[in-house]
Amino acid sequence: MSSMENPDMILERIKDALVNFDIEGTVSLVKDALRGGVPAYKIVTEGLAKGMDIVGKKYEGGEFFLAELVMAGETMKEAMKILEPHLGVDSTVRKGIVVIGTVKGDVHDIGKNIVSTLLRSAGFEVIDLGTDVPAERFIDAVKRFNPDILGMSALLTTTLANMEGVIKALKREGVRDKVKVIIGGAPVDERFAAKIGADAAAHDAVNGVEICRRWVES
Amino acid sequence: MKPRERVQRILNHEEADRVPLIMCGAHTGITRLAYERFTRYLGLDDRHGRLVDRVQQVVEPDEDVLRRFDIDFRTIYIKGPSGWRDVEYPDDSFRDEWGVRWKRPPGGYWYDMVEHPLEDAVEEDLEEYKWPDPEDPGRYEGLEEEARALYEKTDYALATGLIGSIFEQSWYLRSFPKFMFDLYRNKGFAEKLMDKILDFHMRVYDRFLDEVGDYVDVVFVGDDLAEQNGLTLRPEIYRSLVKPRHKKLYEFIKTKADVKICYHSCGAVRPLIRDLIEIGVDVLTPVQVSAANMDTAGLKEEYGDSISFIGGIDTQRVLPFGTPEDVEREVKLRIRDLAPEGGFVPAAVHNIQPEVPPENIYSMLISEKKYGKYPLPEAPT
Repeated sequence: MSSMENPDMILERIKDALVNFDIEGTVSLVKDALRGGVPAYKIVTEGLAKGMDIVGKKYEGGEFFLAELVMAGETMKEAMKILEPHLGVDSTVRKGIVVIGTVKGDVHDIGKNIVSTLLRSAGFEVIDLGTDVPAERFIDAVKRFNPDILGMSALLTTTLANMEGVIKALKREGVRDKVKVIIGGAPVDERFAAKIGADAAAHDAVNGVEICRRWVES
Repeated sequence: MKPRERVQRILNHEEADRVPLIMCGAHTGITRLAYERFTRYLGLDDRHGRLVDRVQQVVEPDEDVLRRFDIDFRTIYIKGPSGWRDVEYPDDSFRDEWGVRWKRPPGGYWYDMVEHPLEDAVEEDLEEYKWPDPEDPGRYEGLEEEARALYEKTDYALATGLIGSIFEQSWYLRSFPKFMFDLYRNKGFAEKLMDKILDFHMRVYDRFLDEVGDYVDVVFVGDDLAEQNGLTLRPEIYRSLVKPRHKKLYEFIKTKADVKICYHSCGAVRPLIRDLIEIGVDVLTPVQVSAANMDTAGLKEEYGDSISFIGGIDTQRVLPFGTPEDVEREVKLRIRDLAPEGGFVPAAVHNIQPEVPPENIYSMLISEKKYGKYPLPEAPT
């Protein structure tokens, strides 16, 4: 950034570049901002996160499409690669810890990845266990990282049953009450969440992040 | 009434003696595990069907099962190139003839993509890439005899197994995020990639329909253009980049054979139905009723004069998690909405999944015949 440009201006431009899923533009603006002395956490919270927020709302409102949500997510990811080395442990106001993964038998991760990116941009620390995650790995991660929230994703109706398996295992291991459990993926709904003993079902990625936000803020 | 005539009338928007039934084909059929459980439930031992789609694990049911439930369709599948075998890896993954690698997680039911061979490609690489050969005679071997026999010796309507996806094949090769960026920002690449794939499909359909075109009633094509909540792409992107290629392929198919074109797209595809009609699509499947704005009464009212529907029996809630009575109600509802004046073949939305209880499959097939008789009862006003 030119030495004359003020930090608010560049954060605004980062936000706009992200909303336009302009990877090169976003990355180069982020580098400029760092060089200009803007703190990394501020680039995340007041630039990228605000952009993702706009993208999420536009998607919710039917103004943006899945392709655009995914591209914005990719842009966010690339920008975060630049920023991560500059983010100290307590330089961001951490909202909470989320352990997330796609359940066993299911390797679909487009939805889960969007949720992870949105959560990170909303200030959460996200421990992403990947796809095809067996119950034991969810349990281990809950014990090890002591998260506020456990998120499970499934695209296939055939793997939904494995979500219930994880919740049963949480109970068996005596850690069910330590975390809020949220589930997501096309086939899940509130009724299913209630049936298997989850705390909430997200009807899409943006809604899921909203729910997590409410939980940690309340 | 013979099945072939029944199907033709219904897809010409006329009523027949009843709605036709389908439980075959690679996108209107049944998965292997569901089929094995269903046939055991019917008291038949050791039935596995014939695997017709490895990735989805879909099987073609045995002839006696198709007959028992008066299924009106039979399917003709194109074959693989001569001597082709998927390249196998020890972790239950394989590479298909396009170079895409698929893997099934342990205990999983399906294969999903894990490697996209053109992910890092630039435009020049598309010329060098080893594309599958559409002219390979192995693909067409014996198809004319098979189709003719079905046409002459049976009364069933003939459909083809789905081929011809352009948008999906592009992102299979490129990865989903990369191809989205191509469509929005790197259009030259996107168009070149799609043209390579279109060219393959044009040449395949040329040969394929030379063999079977005289005998076939319905050609299945498709590209998923929507997800649960809406379209995958901004409609203008579909219209400017993908639709012209769909149009070229479907018009070509219709110059080759007198067939109905049945287009498969999952999800909330409603905003593009008018576009599909415009480019020669006659039938839409699978009518994912659980997706946004896919209410069947509304679809029939808005588009029913110009397009027919195959599918509509909810696969995300009712079939896997409902009771047989729920399934019966669902079938009745969809027939009430979609079957008046023809134009509807009830079926599960997409292939019947492994966890669908056999009682529900049975209830679906029986209810389709029970409630699908014309004249339909007057809808309560």
